[in-house]
Amino acid sequence: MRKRALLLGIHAEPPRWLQIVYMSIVPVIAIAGYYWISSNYLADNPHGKLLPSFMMMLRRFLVLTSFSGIDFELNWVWGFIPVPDITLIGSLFWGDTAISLFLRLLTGLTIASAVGLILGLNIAMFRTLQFLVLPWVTVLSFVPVVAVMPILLIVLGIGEEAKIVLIILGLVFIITLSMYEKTREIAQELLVNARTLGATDLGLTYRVVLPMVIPDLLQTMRLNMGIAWYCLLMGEAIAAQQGLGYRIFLFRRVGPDMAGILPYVICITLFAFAIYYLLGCIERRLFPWKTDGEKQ
Amino acid sequence: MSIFHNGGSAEEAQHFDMVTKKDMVLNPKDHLLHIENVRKVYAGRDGAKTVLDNVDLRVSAGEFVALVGPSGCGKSTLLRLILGSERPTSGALYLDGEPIGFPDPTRGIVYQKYGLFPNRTALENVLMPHKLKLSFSEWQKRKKELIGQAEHYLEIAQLIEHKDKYPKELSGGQQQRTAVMQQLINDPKVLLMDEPFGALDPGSRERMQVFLLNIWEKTGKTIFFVTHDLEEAVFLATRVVVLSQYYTDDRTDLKVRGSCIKCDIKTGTVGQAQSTKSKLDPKFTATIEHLRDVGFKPDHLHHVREFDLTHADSFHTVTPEEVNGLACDFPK
Repeated sequence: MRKRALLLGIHAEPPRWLQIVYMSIVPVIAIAGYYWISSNYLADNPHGKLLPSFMMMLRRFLVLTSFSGIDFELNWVWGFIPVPDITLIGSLFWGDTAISLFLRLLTGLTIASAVGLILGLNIAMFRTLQFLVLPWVTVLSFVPVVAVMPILLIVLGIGEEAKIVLIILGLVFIITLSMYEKTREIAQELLVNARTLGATDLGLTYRVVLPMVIPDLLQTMRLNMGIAWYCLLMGEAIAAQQGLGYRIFLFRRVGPDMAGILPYVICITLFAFAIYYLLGCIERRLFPWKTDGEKQ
Repeated sequence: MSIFHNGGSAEEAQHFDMVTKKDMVLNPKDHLLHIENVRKVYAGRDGAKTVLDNVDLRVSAGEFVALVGPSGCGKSTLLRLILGSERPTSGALYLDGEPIGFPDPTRGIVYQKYGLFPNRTALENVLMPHKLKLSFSEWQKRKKELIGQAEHYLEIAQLIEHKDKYPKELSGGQQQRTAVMQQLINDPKVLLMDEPFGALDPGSRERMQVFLLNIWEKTGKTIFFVTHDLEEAVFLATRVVVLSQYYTDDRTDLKVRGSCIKCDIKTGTVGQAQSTKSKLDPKFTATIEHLRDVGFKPDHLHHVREFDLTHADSFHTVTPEEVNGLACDFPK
């Protein structure tokens, strides 16, 4: 009998330790490569700012994250969304994170998901809405958000509203269309069955179908997280006083402060991945009936 | 078709018409389910396609009717018409004297799959009819009693230890039992079943058949059962209705003519044979033999006529060419 391949081949099944070794090859090469380029660069230009060493980045990052005291005020957007006034917090990084992540990103994401879910569900269930709304949602989903940004800034000013609306506009049509598709995928037999069990129009939509598409909503959010971040950073880059995106562009103007930019980029990536991972966990934990372990 | 031409077709056809017309005088209120002269035409890319034509059927309360026929003969279409998810092109369907409208709780359905809500456990699935029909406050008030009732139903179906499992964690047979119980708790006037055991392995299929017969005997529910398995139909039903295709050209009075499409038009009730409720009845063996002949051996057609004349009380006579068409299409 032939020995099972460890390294190559379609049927290769490397043991766990080898899998970990394989996984770490790319980052090790990347880090080592950067270290080599950066140290060569710094040897030639001892005061160069373009390729900071890891130690320089760490030192800069510690400065950015250190607290000098926590104090903040609450302001309200549209009367119901609390806005912590972060300038009073000592740490630039955590202030930026709080305002970008919890205020702008999560608010935008929540509103876009809620609207997209309800809209997509109803479009799929009620035929009138398919003619009334669906074509225009499809057309609007093709409008590049960046092109609309100047209009938003003119209409809504440079406050929080414009940036939240930007995220909502970037996501809501995609989520609507996705929820429409997912609702349409539910077997007709199941809907007819619910009818024979006495479901009314609204009962069918909100008691039968809605709970069945919630996991799909989480999945759509997860997969379109990139767009949300894109809209967030774009909005912050153009007009903001705080935020992760704002800070990166500020560092570029005053320096360029690469030792500050790189940790920010790494952290943004980590946050994005953490949210992606968390949504995946929630999906598996809350909806055990959905996971594809065994087929029905 | 040769048998048809040699066998004195004109008289057969006349007799067929006579029986049909005589039956049509019946009042829709005389039977639980009354299907009158139903015709269903689908618009297709290559012209209109007649799936059902001239279908007349009456089902009394408490009957267990099985509808058999080759694939694509319109069994499921007829079922969808009774269910109300599709409308007939012409003709009328009545349930308890009332014209049939959109799907509602008077007609229950058990499908081959997709019958259960995947996001609800077996118990929740069985409770669904109550949850959908009662308002929230009423549900809260009667919750305890209704859950008790649902658990009792699950006990009958031997599913009580699986009550907290999701449909995908249940076996095929358990899923179908849950689906049947979901419908029974809803208490429809007629229970429609669309090849409900088609996806099961032979062993669980047999157990499910016995289970269904038990349920039917206990509840006396009217069941309308669609299957392509003749033996299953004969084993289960008190009456087997055979739907058969026939070819366009052989009936001169039909609309689609001269087209080269062979199986364009399918017809309605061809033969209704009395079978027996259970295995104990001596007539059962004879019946299954005869129906086998109908399905699989065109040489034994004379048996069918004998059979029809001797055993059945009321039926539309099987005309030879229709049986021949059936025999050609039945997969062995």
